[in-house]
Amino acid sequence: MSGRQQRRAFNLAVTWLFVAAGLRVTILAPEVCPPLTTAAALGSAAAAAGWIADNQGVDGRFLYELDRDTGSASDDYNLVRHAGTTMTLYQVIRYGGPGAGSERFPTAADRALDLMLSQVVTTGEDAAAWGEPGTDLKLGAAALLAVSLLERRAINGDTAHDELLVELGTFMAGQQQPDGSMLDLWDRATGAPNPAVRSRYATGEALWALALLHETFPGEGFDEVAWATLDYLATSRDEVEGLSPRPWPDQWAAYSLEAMGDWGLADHHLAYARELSGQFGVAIRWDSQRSGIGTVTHPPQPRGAGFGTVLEGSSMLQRLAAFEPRLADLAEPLADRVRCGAARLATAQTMTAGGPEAEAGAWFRDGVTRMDDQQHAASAMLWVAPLAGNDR
Amino acid sequence: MNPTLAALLAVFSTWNPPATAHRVGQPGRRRVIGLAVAAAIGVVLALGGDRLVDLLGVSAPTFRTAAGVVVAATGVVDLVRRPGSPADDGQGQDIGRLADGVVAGLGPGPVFAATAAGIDVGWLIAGLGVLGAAAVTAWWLTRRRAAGTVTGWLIRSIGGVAVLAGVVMIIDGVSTV
Repeated sequence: MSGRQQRRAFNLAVTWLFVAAGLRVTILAPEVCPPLTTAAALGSAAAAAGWIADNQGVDGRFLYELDRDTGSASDDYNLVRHAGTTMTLYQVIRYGGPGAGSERFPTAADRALDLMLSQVVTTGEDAAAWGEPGTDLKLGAAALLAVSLLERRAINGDTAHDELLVELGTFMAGQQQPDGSMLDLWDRATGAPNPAVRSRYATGEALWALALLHETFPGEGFDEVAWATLDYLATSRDEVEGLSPRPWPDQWAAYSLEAMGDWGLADHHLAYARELSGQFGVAIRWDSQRSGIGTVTHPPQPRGAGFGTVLEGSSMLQRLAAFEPRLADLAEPLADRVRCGAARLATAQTMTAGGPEAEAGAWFRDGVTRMDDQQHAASAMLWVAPLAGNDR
Repeated sequence: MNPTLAALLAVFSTWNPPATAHRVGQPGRRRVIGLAVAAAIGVVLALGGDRLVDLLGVSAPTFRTAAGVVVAATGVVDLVRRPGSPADDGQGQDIGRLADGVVAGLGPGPVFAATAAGIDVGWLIAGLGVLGAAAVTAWWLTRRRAAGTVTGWLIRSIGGVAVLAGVVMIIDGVSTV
């Protein structure tokens, strides 16, 4: 070969070397997915619930945030997260299998529930919500209280709170605007919804709660409210509320789509589900590439809450895809993603047998864990468990 | 954009026949054979794309995203690079002339585009796309034209198509489960 031809071949080889190496440590880093069994997933959920229960105060409040390096606990608290964590405890009891048979979970869940029930406020005719005295009432807190009560009702058949459940539904419906959006707060001073505040979380939480309420109380008209809000989420929420990325990866919307899956979803709802699936899928793929040098090129390390919500959302959409023919092509890819993501999440859980009680079962990032890290991760593990591999 | 169309556009535009023909240099049987060898490698990669992805330990959407980056980058290079004149006297050994064709058709762009197309739309369509692009390149090579203004704009236009196809592949890769 002439010198020119040799240079050309050399240049091609160098180009390939840089392209291949550059891609391999960035976009094409290997996706590492450890194995996960059903027992391991349920064990992870039970351990997380154990952290929640073991660190609960006698007043029913959970340990909100812990810095294990300093051993200090935060004084902060969040009522929506309290309701959500209570809900997760009931979910672990209901779906957690034999490992969740311990009495400490029902005791902890009921204690947390009693705290909420003691703070229920009537907001109008046949409407109620809950919140600490002197604070505005939050839509999300009412929604997750309702889901907690529904889970508890499904576990023990207790219908004592059915009237309250309908009142919570009526409260949520009262927060809805004509375009299907939801207002986040109910102002105690004015006795009316605060028109200025919306929440990227609460709208989906309320939608899911309303969908579940309709399943239990089909004559109350909650389905109409739910349809309007689902349309809003699927078509205009991101633009109206300035959310990004679009669609905003809302796991509560995914829960809602799954709950409403047999109501006759329209094509634009399924298009929304498909887009959400993509958002969750790429988040899991990105995380699965965080190994070796990928830990440098694939930041940041997600916290248990954040990655838990991704797995919750993708699990719910996988369930939807499993019975909705128009999404059938997503069922297996979503199952692959949630198995991979849950396996990685499980390996990140602190499972120090005999270690400090305040650490076992928790997910720490930078030495800090918050109760919703355990809440979302535990719920996710429950939903992934049926998709995980056999123990043998 | 239709996935099949995007895949075929990516294959064709990364080959960028006038640009590749210009890089090959003077026409000749050995150089055309070299192009055919490059095309055959592309077809093989389209055929074995799924296995390659497994070997790399990545999912198809992740590979598509990476391929989209390479395709778009290839397009950018064709958009901004001046074709220049082929520093080729038409002489040299047979093996060198063969290498001219192979090297011109085996850049990262065509290779990634063929592999991704094979995964996304099947090896047959992808392979036909590669063979078609190589055939157009060979035809262009036989025209023996120097890189004039029209050719330059044509190369840039096809480079623009590669950028578009690459961006479509990136978006599709990122938004797929």
